[in-house]
Parts: sequence; C-alpha cells; structure tokens
Amino acid sequence: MKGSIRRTFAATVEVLPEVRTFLRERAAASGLTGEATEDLLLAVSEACANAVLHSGSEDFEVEWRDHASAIQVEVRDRGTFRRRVRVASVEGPGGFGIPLMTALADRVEISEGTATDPGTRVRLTKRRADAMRAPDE
Amino acid sequence: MLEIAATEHPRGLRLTGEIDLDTAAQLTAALEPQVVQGGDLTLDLAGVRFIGSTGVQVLIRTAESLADRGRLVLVNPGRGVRRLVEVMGLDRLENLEVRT
Repeated sequence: MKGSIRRTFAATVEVLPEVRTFLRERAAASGLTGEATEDLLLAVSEACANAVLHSGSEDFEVEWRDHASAIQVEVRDRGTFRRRVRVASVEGPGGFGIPLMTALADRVEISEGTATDPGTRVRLTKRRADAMRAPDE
Repeated sequence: MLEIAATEHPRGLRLTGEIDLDTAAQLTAALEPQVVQGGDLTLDLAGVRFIGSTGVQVLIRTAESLADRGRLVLVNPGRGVRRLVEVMGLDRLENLEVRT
C-alpha cells in the first residue's frame, strides 16, 4: 500500500461538506480521473450520511487508502447498523444509499455494528481506471 | 451551503452550491410554491457541485408532484448530476427532462 490517511468527523450533517473537501483533495493527490472522483465522492457521501443519520454514533472516521491498483475508502462509526428494507409503496422514495454505493464502487463491504458489538464499517473499493487487478492488501 | 435564486425566463430556480442532507430541506421549501403554481419548472444546476441521494429524492418528489401539470427540466448539469441521473435512470421519469 502506498499510503493511508484518516480523518475523524463529528456525526452531524454540517460536516458533510468537509468530508467531501477531504475526499476531493485525496482523489486529486491519488491522480484519480474526474469520473472516478465523482463516483467515490458520491458513494462515500452516502456511507457518511448513513453514519450521521442512522448509527447513533457521535463521530465517524474516514480513511483513504491508496493501493497500487485501487483506491479504498473506509467509513467507520461507533454505532449500530440500521437493519431495514425500505419499501417505496410504504415509505415513499428513498433508501438509495446502499444501492448507490454498489452502483458506483467496484466492491462494497459492510460490517454491521450491533447493540452488543457497536461499530459499523463500510469499505468502498474503486479500481484505478487503468488497473484491473484486485487491490494488493 | 446552497444558494437559491428565482429565475423568470424560464421560470424556476438557479442553484449554486451543494444539495445534501444539510440543504435538501431548503430546496424543498423553495420548490414548494413553484410546484403549487404548476407548469414547467427549470432548475439551472450549473453551480451545483454536489448532489447526493437526499437531493435526488427532492427532485423525484418534485417531478411526481408536478405530474401532468408540468415538467421538471434540469439544465447545465455538472458531471456529478449527470452521473446520478445515469446511474438511477432518472431520465425514465416521464416529466423529468435533463438538458446537457
């Protein structure tokens, strides 16, 4: 791995622009294409929005990992994962966060925090456009 | 942060900033009277740097509320907006139009 940078944010909606600034800076430093940057920005924002809205955690951590063939971004909170399946005819449109993550990232791994074992971890992997190998871990 | 300015020709809103969890309610409030009035509604998105799923929900609800009373027209969408529209297939909504 070439490098890893992590930042901790308070779990409030007001910090979300700061998270995006952090991600844009890291994406530029990693030499990502504009398209890959947009995809990761959106996918990670959805993970952070879930941490802020649903986890009950006071803060969350975002870690940017620069691998030779892929970028991984991990969002970790200290709360619980909301186990829900949203039904549009019951609740209206929404629940797009996780589907969006899977559409925009090449791999999505979610380790769900529970009441007895809190801490949800969402790891989003985006292969570098010119690299098709699995990330070197 | 999201700045919202009303436009007359075409009628709608010019948006500048980011449409996220923090600002989506502000957008909903600005759209409400326009939706009540009916007719085509144009959102100029040239200044929108980010839109997430919360913002998209606002757009979907707006198009649904307008229904057969008008179209929701998105003009000057940036790369992020275009990507979301593509991934979510929003162009399939009957009265939502994206002008690139």
